[in-house]
Parts: sequence; structure tokens; C-alpha cells
Amino acid sequence: MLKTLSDLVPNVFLAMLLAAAAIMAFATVNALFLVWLERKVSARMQRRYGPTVVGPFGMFQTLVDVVKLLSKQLISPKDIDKPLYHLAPIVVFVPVVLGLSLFPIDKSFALVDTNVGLVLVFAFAGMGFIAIFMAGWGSNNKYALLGAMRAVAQNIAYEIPLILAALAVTMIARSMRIADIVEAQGSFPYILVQPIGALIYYISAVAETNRAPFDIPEAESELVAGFHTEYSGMRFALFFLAEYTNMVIVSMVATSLFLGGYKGPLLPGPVWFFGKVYFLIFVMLWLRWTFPRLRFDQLMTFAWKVLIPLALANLLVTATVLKVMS
Amino acid sequence: MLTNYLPIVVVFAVAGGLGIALLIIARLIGPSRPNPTKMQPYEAGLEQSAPPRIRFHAQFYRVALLFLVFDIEAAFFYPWAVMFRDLSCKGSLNAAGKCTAGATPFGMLVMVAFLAILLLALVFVWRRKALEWD
Amino acid sequence: MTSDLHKPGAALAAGTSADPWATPPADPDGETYYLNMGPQHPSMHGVLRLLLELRGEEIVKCEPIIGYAHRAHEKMAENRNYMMFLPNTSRVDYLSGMIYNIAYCQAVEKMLAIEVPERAEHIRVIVCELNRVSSHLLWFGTFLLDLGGITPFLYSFDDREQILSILDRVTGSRLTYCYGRFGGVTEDVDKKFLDETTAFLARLRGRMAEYHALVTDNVIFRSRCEGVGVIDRETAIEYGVTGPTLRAAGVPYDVRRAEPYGIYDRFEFDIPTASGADNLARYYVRVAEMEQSMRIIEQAIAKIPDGPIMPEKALKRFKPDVGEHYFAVESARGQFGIYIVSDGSDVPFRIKLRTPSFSNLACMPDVLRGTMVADTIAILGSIDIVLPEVDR
Repeated sequence: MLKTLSDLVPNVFLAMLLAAAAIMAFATVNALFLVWLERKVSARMQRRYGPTVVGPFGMFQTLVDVVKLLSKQLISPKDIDKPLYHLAPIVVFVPVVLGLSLFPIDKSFALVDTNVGLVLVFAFAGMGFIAIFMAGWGSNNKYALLGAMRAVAQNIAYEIPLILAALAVTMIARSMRIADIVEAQGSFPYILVQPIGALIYYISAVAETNRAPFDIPEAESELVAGFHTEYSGMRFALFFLAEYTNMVIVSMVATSLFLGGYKGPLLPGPVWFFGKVYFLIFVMLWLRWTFPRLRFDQLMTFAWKVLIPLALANLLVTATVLKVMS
Repeated sequence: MLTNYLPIVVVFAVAGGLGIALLIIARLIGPSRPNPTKMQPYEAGLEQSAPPRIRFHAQFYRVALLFLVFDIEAAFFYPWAVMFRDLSCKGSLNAAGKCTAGATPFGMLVMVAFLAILLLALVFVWRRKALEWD
Repeated sequence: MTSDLHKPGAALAAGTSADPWATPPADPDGETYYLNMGPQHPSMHGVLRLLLELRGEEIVKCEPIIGYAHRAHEKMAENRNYMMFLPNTSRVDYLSGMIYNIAYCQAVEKMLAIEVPERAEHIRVIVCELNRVSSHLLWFGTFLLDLGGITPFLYSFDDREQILSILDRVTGSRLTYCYGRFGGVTEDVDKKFLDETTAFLARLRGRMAEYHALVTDNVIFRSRCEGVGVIDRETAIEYGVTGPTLRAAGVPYDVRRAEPYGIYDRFEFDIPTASGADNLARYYVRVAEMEQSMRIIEQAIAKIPDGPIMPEKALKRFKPDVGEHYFAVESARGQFGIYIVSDGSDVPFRIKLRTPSFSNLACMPDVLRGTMVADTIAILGSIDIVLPEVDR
């Protein structure tokens, strides 16, 4: 049986606090690492060096950046909608941390294990858009509001194919518990039986995280910084942290649903799990530093006219095949 | 069963607490020297020409409505997807997920009917050009 | 009392600003979005300000407002003698400064009927075309940056850097050159310069294949460019649009061919045109132009003779006869004209600079109407404006 942290540590409350602390630590360290990785990868793709000064290979550059961000003035522009503006960074940050806690990283270990894990992940991901809109509306800034409107329109459009693609997997695995889905994948990952589903999922996931070529809500050449234009210092850092943690979450879902999660020969489970996750993240970085940005109407049309019909068709085909096979 | 969700509540509290704590730390160690120019909302270096919070273009609402329909549809799909193979079997499934009794088209039909209505709706909005962004 | 100036609207109330949108026009249905894009905006290519009237994401009206980088170059010309105006010229358009600098020399030479030595003419062609390539490379990078592709920008700047280094060695500056003199150029070029240039051309040819693979054939790039920002033949001619933007509309007009100056009539090169008149057509024209410039440079390097680089009797102070003179060259952005009015003194009575970006920008309200916000940036990027050149 799958063990959660509460089984390993006798005192329940202590176990939970430990788990929470572990997740926070992971989210923070991971974001620091990812920002560094992104800067290094993009630099290498662009024939530059990237950060080199602070620490080995410039690895502590992002840490120093955080210290800088911590010590900067928190500027709140005039005429903001105070509750929305101040709450947005926290509302964007909390759900992604929650989402992180739902994944089994090894055969016998997950921090939180529920039988509707998959739906919960999407639900937490959905909360992020509320925060984005709060930020855009609260900022009293036209670029921010335009960016927020774009962000919400884009995110809800891409959430549908995302969920539909995951549905096909649920259908085969007969469970919404992420651990069950991973276990159900036996010796071969679902990407082999659901290649179209996997593709739809990945494209939608990149769009969900607002990464290039779908980075329209924060398209810096048009909307300056989009919905977080008016955020500076630590508030901005929280948005940043959430964005990078989101990348990890969608990659973790993809790993669990399509790539067999922690499964793999020879090496231990967590190594496989994180190896796959970071490979998917690397592909995201690769995409970002290769492609120009889509236009907003093209993006919406692509979601509604290509991805959603395709995802529905994929669902029907999956159902039919399952029906015939059983 | 609900105790399964207790860790989530704890994580929620800790994450929220940390977020607030970080902002408080930033406020404490960061300078606070506001001036009217710094507090201006950014509009490409000029004063705001008109208030930003106005009625949105109707196009955005159209997307919201479509989303509602399709998202609820997806929500309905989930229980069905989990139970699909059980619904397609007259008896119960064995441990390997194989049907022990005869097959029944019930699981398929019930959702095909639901899906057909929605697909019809999708075709309708498509034909009415509600999916175009103009 | 400084705090008063910080107060919003203070400058307007004092009547020091003529902002047409200080009070936005009445909005009947409350759905129109008034947005200032620029002057301080990440992709305004300088300090252009666009007043946008939006409905959703669509632009109903667009009004470019210029003048934020006005440095009064034309007025400066009226207060210093002909020679002293030389350094100003390359600062009008800092991206093709060499072409402007040489153009001013050629204008004065035409006015005074000075013969330029053969070697100097060839050097001028080489450095001007190198400058054109560097300008187009910068455009290539920033255009892709406007479309959200960051990597091509770094690649093209890498190549541009080579040109800047080559020119730096011989002229002493990287951007605002003052290399031309009336009758020739300041410094002779050596064999190393010619070798470096040849090596660079070979390198750039190799890189072009990479650019095509990374950009030209990219689906997203094409979907952002095809049919976007059409400046058709009639519009272009009406507004006096010149340069690659005009040639992308299918008009094969290039000053180097239409009214050859210097020794351009001796070189073989094509005038690339395209028919689409959209962003993609302008992209094709510029990329093809780089190729043609490379051809010209190669021919010039092959033919460059030995000899002096300045006439035997160099001009120091001079007083041209009373009269008016116009001289035009093809800059990287279009037709650059210099109109000199002389009153017989050693100081020009008036110098008018006809800068291509100004005319190219003028058609924007027409072209941008009905496009999306995202396309605004792409279209502005594709016509390759340099704001200091617009404002002068």
C-alpha cells in the first residue's frame, strides 16, 4: 500500500508540518534551480555563458537575486484596489504549493494521497487564474488589465483540452488517484497508447503555464509585463515562484499520466520521476527559446478549433477501443 | 476519509503563512520612500489618459460562457470515465480489469448521447462564428 | 515646489503640454479603451508614442506622436560651418550612420564639384554596404524580438558585432561614425580590413542558412507575418514610403539604381522586390538585400585600386556659391535626402534632412486601423523605424 508521510511519522500533526515544510522547501529550491537552469540553457542556446560569477557555474545567482528582491521597496501604485492587489501574490502562490503535494514520487511515498488527486491538481491550477485576474484588475493599470483578460481567456480555453486529454487516461486507468494511474501503467507508459492525448496535454500545459510560444498574457514586447506590470520586489518574486512551480506541476502531471511516473529500470523511483519531470521542463525551455510568440486570436482559435475537437475525438476513440477490448 | 485531506489544509496554512511572512519581511527590511511619481501607475511614461477599469469587450464574455459549458461537461465526464469499464460490463470486473460477464453498451451510449449534444453545440457555435476572434 | 510637478495633471493645468488626450474623447458605449503605447515601452524602437483606441484587442484608431527624441540637428547645422556639421550626420540615424555621414560628404562634394579619388570611392561603398548589412541584421533581431523570438536577436547581434569591430578598426567608432571627409575618407584601409571583411561575408553566408532554418520556415513566424500589415503600392506611394517597405509592395525603386551616386553604377546587383506588401514581404526584401549588399562588397573588394584617399588639396574652410542643392542616397531604411541652401557664407543657411523613417511612419494610422494590438508591434517592427531619425 502507498505510504504517506503520516504513516512514517507517528505524531500526525508533526508529520503534516514536516510535509508542509518539505514542500515549501522543494518549491523554493526548485524555483531557484529552474530560474538558474533557464538562464543557463537559454544562454547556451544563444551562444552566451549565462550567470558565472556567484557560486559554481553561477548557481547561487538566483539566490542572490532573491535576497535583492527581498530588500527592495514594495511599491503600491495609487488608486489600486487594495484587497485584490495585496492578496493576489499570495493567492497565486498558495495553490501551486498545494498542487505540488499531490504527487507520488516513489512507489511507496506521496505526501498527500487522495482518490481524486488528478481533479484536485486541476482545481488548484484553476485557482491561479483568479489570482492573475485579481492582480490585473487591482493594479489600476491598462497593460495589466489587458494582460489579465488575455491570461484568463487563454487559460480557460486551454484548460478544457488539458482536462479532456487527462480524461482519456483516467478512463484506461479507472481511477483519479494519481498513484493508481501510475501503477496501472504496468511496464509501458500511457504515452504509447495515448500519443495524441499526450501531445494535446503537453501543448495545453505549456499554454497553461503562460510560457512561450503561448506567453501572450505577459508578452513583454506588447504588454510590458502583462498582469504583473505593477508588482515589484517580493510580490513580483511570488508571481515568479508560482510560474516556475507551475511548470513543475504540469510536468509532474504529464510524467504521472503519460510517462509512467516513478517507474523505470535500475534506478530508484524518485530519480526516474524527477528525471522525467526535468526533461519535460527542459523541452519547455527549449520551446521558449526557439519560437516566436503566437498572436492572441491565433491562440484562441487553435484551442477551440483544433485542440478541443481533437481531444473530444480522442476521448471517443479511447472509449470505443476500450469497449471493444473488454 | 476526510482526514486524508487534512494535510492539504496544513500545507495551505503553511504556504499562506510563508507568503505573508515573506511580504512582511520584505516590508521590514526594504526601504519605503514613496513619492507621487513613483506611485503613478505605469502607462509608458505618461499620465494615465483614462481610467483602466471599464466594461470589457463582449468577446471575453463569449469565451467565458463557452468555457463554462465545456468545463462542466468535463466535470461530468470524470465519474463516467472512471466507471466506464464497469458500466460496460454486466457483471463486475476482475482484478486485471477484464469483464467477467457479458458486455453492455450502456456505458458507451449514455455518454455518446451526452457528448453528441455537446458536439452539436460546438458545431453550432462554430458555424455561427462564435469561435472567431475579431 | 517640485512636488507640484509630480502631481498628475499639474503640467497639463499649467498649459505646458499639448496632449491631445489629456481629456479623452467622450465614449458613447463605455467599451473603448484608450491606451498610450510609448514613449517608454519595451518595443517602441526608441521613443515613439502611439495613442491607441481599442475595442477589445482591435485598434479602432491610432495616432503616432513624435518629437520625444528631437535634437534639432537641422538647426544645429545653421549655426556651424559645413565641416563642423559632419559628426552630427551619423547621429541622425545611429543604425546606418555611415551611410548618412558619407551622404553628407557626397552632397557637399556635389555642391562644390569635388572629385573623389577612386580608392576612396571604393572604400565608401564597402563601409556603406557593411553598415547597411549591420542595420538590416539589427532589424532582423529586433523584429523577431517584437514577435517574441529572443534567440534570433542574439544570433544577429553576434554577427552585427563582427561588422562593428571591422568598422571600429578603420574608423575608430562603432556606431556614430565620422569617417567621411569632403573629397574622401579620413583613414586608408589596409589588407587586414579587406581580409576581415571577406572572412565576415563567408561567415554571414553560412549564418544565413541558419537564420532561414530558425526563422523563415517557422510556422509561427509565418502565421504572424503573412497578410499582416499590408502597405499596398498606392498607399506606399501616396505617403512617400521608400526603401524596403516600398520594394516589398512591388515597386523596384532604389536610389542606388534610379539615380546612381558615387560609383554604384559600376556594380552588379539586383533590386529585390516582393509582391505581398505585408510583414513577410518586407522580411524577404531585407534578407535579400543583405545578400545583394554582400555582392556589392565583394565586387568592390575585388576592384579596389591603390592610390590616394583624399584629393591632393584638402578643403579646410570654404564658402560655396549662393544656391540650393539636393542629394539623395539609399539608406538602410529608404531614401535619405539632403537639401542644402547656401547663402554664400561658410555656414549653411538651411539644411533639410529628408529622412525615410518619417515618411514610412506617416502611413501607420492607415495601416494599423483594424489590426490587433499584437500586430501593432509587429508592423511597426517590420517597417524598421529609427525614432531619432524621425525626430532629427
